[in-house]
Amino acid sequence: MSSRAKDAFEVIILGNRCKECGLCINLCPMKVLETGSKTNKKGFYTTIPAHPEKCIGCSICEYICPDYAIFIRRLPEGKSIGKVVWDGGVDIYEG
Amino acid sequence: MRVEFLSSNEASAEGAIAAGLKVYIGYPITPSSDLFEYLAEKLPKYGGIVYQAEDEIASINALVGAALAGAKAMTATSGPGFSLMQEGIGLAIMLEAPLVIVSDMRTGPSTGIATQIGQGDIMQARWGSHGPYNLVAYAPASAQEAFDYTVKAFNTAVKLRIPVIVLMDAILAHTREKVIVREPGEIEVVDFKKTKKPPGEYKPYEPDPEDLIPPMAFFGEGYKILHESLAHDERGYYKTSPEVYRPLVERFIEKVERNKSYVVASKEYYTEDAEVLFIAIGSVARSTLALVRDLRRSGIKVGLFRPISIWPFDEDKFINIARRVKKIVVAEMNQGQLIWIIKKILWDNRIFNVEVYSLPLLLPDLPSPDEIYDEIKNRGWKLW
Amino acid sequence: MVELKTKYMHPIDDLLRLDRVPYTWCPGCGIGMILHHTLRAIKELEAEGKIDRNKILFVTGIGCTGRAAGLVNLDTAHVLHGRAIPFAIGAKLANPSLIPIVFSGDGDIAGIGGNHLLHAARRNMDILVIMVNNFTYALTGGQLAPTTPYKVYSTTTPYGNPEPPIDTAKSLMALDVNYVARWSVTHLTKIKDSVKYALTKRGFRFIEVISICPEIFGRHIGIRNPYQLYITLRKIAKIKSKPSFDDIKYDWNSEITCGVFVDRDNPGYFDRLKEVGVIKSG
Repeated sequence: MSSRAKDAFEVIILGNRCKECGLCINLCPMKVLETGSKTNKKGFYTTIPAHPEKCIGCSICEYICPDYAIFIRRLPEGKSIGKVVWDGGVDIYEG
Repeated sequence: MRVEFLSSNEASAEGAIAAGLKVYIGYPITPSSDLFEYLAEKLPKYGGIVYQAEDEIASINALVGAALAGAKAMTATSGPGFSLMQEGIGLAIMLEAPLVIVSDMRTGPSTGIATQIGQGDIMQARWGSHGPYNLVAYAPASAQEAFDYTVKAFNTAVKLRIPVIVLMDAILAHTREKVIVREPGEIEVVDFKKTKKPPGEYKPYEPDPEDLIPPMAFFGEGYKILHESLAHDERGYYKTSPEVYRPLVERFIEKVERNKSYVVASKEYYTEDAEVLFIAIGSVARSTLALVRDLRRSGIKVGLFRPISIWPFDEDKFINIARRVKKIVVAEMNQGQLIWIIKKILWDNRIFNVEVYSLPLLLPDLPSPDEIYDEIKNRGWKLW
Repeated sequence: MVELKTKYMHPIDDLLRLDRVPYTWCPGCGIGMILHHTLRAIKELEAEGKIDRNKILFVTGIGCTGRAAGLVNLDTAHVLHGRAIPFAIGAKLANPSLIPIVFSGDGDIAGIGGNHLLHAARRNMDILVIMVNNFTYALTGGQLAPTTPYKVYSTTTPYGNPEPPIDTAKSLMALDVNYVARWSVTHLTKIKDSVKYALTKRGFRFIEVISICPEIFGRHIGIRNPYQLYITLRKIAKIKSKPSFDDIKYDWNSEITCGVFVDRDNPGYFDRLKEVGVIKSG
């Protein structure tokens, strides 16, 4: 059986869009996501991609988010990475 | 140009065709159904489309959609249907959709008498919808005027981006008269003012400062327009602050006020030396005019002022006459609607030395000149 | 920084008015999800060269779902309560090349707009109607809707709803329509596939989507948490393949049948206008 390099994904969250509904956190089959400790402009605790290394790219989080706050990009190589994008910069999560 | 023998319904339809009508969306209601039927037959030959909606509410809402998609659009109805359309008229106001709505007034209230005349839609034409706004209403009194003022109604609607009401009545609707039907090259036909800005820069509700009218872009042209029935700013975004709301509604009111000289129309008869002035519109004006002529033959100095634009009223013409006369009699087939307009104009212009009489002709059919005379006599008024 | 905004754009950001994001809907609201997959369908069709986004006219009525018009970056119109369907039809009559999509709520489409729904369906009018069903009049605070389940609390039926609700999608099967389907937010990809397919068809297409409203309907039935409401709905919304009329159920307590109920290719309204000779072909 040949081995295959594991696919890598970018789990990107647009920080100010999150409304803390919890759907992505609960529906992620790999438990990549958690509630963060930083509040966004609207006062919600933005979800963070705490364990990006577990991401399998199913994109359920992207599909379920009612506020277009999270999406997945496939990386051509390397390790999965999590990002929370704010107006002034990006918080990186490497898991 | 051709000469035809037409009813006001037919003449109005011909006026619409001459003005470029492309979409007619209607619902049958006596006495306007034959205007609809006339166009159902004729309009497709001019490349237009005629559609029967499931009710008047669907009708008016579909017309707003058609107008904003770039078509000159119209419907014809009567009192009960006109009442149903009021919310839709409010939508046309808020979205600044050019429309023409003909109402062949009939006996009211409610279902009333479908086949007989009334004049009970005068106030409703202006104030039927809720909130602050302005619009234009014409009251033709002959088939020729039905043609001419339907053309004018389209031009006014397109120029000012408002719904324009054409008030006719059950008798005019079906009375055939000689009409000079003009072709598009012989009459003024106003076209939609389109924006010169590219998508991205264009804002759907940003007015041109000269005339307060926003240039249009239609659906389907790549402008990503937002048409919004909530109170909105120039982009169409819902806004609740006074800084945005007040200019919006003041502009709705002002865009008609500022263009009054283009809009207003009226006619006067025997007013140079009149001491008693009758005021009436539509078929009632024709009966009243015959009475005025009879009285003149007996040496009584009466005259008639006939508004053609009711909203806005031809105030300047009217007050010149009002300052000269001693008595004014407002004859209308309702409980008194025009009378409110008259009294307000007189008050606003401080014309206090004229006696004003409201003559509400609460009758199910048009009174003859003699019957109008009797109505006055039975009230014991000493007018002359 | 502008660079961050362009570097990290959500896949459907070009179809949104970004200066209005995040939008007014409650946390966990199903409308955003349904809109997302409707817009995805448009993007996929566009990538296949099958739709011109400039011809789309997105019309909404009044209600929470109605607010979608203010968010979508296409030609949109937010019109009167219940009147999105006639507005869309009027626009199409004026310009038959337009592609109207009516996107509105259950109260707006099946309640006050019921007559317009009935007749648009009867005529097999060439429009797509997407009805977001959250079982209530949410924007105004949770009053009874024609779709509210029997005995459930609403603010205007505080003793419990005494009325049987309407199964809107099922009712339309009696008319000469070309496509009727029902999905729920628990089948998001199905929504996208369904909208994509519907947009390639002519005639009247109706897609009912069962949504979650945690703040109002959820709260009324004791399930205010979005995830809990989602998994409750997941147990109720069941897809059946090619269900017959009698197979289709609309019962919050047992099953709300989802799937494709009607899929035909009868002539649409504009085809029939040509058939009778009112408009010339081409």
